[in-house]
Amino acid sequence: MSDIVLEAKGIYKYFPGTEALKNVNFELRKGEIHALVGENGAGKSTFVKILTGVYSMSLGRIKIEGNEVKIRNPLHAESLGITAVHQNIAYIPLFDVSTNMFMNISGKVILDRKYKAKLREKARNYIDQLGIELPLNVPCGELTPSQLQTMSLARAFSKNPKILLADEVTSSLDRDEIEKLFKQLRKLREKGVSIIYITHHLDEVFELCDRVTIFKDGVCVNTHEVSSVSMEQVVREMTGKILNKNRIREPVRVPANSRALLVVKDLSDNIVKHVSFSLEKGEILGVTGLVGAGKTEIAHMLFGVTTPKSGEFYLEGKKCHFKSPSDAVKNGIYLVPEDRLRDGIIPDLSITWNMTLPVLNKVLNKFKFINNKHEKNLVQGVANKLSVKYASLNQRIKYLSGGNQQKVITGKAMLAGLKVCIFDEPTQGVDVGARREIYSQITKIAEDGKAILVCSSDIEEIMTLCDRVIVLRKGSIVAEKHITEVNKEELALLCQGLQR
Amino acid sequence: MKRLMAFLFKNSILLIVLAVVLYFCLRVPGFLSITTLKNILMNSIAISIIALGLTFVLSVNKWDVSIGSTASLSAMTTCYLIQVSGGSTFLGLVGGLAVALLCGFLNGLLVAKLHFEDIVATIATQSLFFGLAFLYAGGYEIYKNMRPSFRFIFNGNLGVVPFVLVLTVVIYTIADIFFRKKKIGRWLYSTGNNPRAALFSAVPVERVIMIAYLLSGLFAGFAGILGASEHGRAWILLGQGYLLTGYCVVFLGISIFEKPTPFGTLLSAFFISTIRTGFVMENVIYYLSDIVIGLLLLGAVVVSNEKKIVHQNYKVGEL
Repeated sequence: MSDIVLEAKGIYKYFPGTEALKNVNFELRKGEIHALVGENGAGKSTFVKILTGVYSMSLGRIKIEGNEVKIRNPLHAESLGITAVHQNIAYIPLFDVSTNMFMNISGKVILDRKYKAKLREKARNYIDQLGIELPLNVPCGELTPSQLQTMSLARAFSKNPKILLADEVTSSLDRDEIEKLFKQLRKLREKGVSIIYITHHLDEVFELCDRVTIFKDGVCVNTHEVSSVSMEQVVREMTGKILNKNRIREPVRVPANSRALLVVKDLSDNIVKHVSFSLEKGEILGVTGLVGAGKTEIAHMLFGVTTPKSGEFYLEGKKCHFKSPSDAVKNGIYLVPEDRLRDGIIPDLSITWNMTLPVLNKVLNKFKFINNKHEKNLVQGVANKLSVKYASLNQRIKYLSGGNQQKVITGKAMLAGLKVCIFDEPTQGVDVGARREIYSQITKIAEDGKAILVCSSDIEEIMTLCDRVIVLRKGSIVAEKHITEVNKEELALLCQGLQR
Repeated sequence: MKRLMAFLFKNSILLIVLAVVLYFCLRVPGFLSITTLKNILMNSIAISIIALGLTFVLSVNKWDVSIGSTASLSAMTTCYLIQVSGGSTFLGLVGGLAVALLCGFLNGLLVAKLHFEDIVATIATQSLFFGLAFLYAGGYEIYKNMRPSFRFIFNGNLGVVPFVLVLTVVIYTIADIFFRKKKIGRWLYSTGNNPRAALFSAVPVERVIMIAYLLSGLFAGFAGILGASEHGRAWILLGQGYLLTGYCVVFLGISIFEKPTPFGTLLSAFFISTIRTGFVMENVIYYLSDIVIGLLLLGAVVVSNEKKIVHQNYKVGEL
């Protein structure tokens, strides 16, 4: 019995109008890494927020090491030994690592030089215990995302947690960095810390975790030993669907045309160096590479968000120079941006208003007034095609789950129906089922004779969706291949710069 | 019980306003009369015009604190031009409104194009405009050569209905159509709610902010001209009280309708004017109404913060 650290029984959580959690039972053993998986909106986040004291549960009991507790707030959760590491790390850029690690200590200490040395020593102690390397006197603002993630892990460890919640911690890291992080997590496990690991990436579950618990529609479906379950079964229980890595359509081979729809010549800015490629009608071209390789920068230049330093691009043979995204849309290029919350959604506007915002001209009547009925029909059609789950189309978009928000902003591209459509990380933070729906809609747009550019660091995604792929490394193109000429491993190596 | 409390909180400001109005109706003799109603309406006109401009600026989530000075400057310009031209109302109006548009343009240039902090920029311009208003007469009133045609704008009647009342209703109807039925309405709200996402959705964000400031300047100037027309003269401090009351009106509207809307603004202007008129008729010390309006603004800001559509710093990390 004593090796159960955390026991949650019969947890219910009601929100106005919905039941977010229904009778969730969960057990965490001492010194295990326990994965929580589930589609967007399945209730993982809600469950985690209850454990960290952000939400209070409506019904149920939580026991920590056999003692029943009522978690009042995040600080209280920490005092009970529950600490969380999030994908968005809270830190003060101007302060150094040791100060950031012990931010809950009073400000007086931070200003005192003697204490500063002590703090640094203390930080060094924890960092050594984890067997990691981190420059202690560098301001956190100068750290890489990976170093920041390490810092936040060390910070969590310094609180001597019994239970560590790791929520989507790998989302901004590349392959090498993920491996390093896994090493650190395993080290924590050795020290007897129990880890709850929340992720969308099942391969991480199978690489790292001991057990896995699957959430679906607010219910805790099942818990498995990772060693005795297959990935296919986990996906089936998550989605009720069969894992489908198949392509939506056979890769097409569009004959290289001297007059391609989009021709990019020698495009450069601060990060991108002399990139040239062409894109044909009906084709899906993938652009892949590690984080920071310049994918988003290319997308932004083509969409008129930033201006290229040099080089040019031609749409249907016409040289383009866009001053703004609205210019780009007028000329036939649309971009679905990468950062959904920052660039994608207008949180307090309705689903309808969000979806038609770039294409308001399509819903105007002959007096240039918005035709609400026509607008509603258009949006309804697209929402149905993408099977967006919503209570009402007049609902504010911020109340949708992440996956459904992503579907809505994908729908904007479908409504726009422009000649060239760029998708930047089209399924970031989106679950397997919704991903499939987004892929098939993107493919449909291509089949309508539009040209599609997909920027993605997810190689699986490139292999499933694209006909041709360009690999970027540090701003330059290192390879261009038809998808049939390459496999996953080769692509991954190319991204790392290990093969030519 | 919880729901009732939430309902009461959400509508608290509206309820307080209605309670005050009810109090006047019951306690002040002669409050419920056509004369009082007409007084209330006429008192609400300048404020509803200036608040309409603010409605545009607040819908893009920006502030314009220069409106009071813009009103003064426009009024002074109009009366000055009438005086020196020997009574040309037309010239005065055109000049006054042009100056108002210029004021708005300057604010728009600073905030939309040059990306100055909105409050800082308009605090600077409010001082600038106020100083400029002194140039015409060194701070003295301008009152010579005012013709009946100029006085007509505010004081004239179309049959039994005051002309300016009709004008206000027409302006508000047009503004309401623009907010609800035209592209610009969506553009304004999306720019106010998440300017980056609006930009990525092909909204010409800078232009939208510029338009909002232009209209804010234009309506502020027009409100100033109405004040001058009412009294037949212009003076430096004419636009002094407009800022506070204007913001109070718009935020009251937001607290009722969750976002800045012309209708909400108009309704609130009527309520605020009712309260002011009531205080005057009740013969209470005059500055009490300032205290009440200030408190109402605070309350409206608190309530509308909870539910308004426009707010900054949306990006809260998902836990």
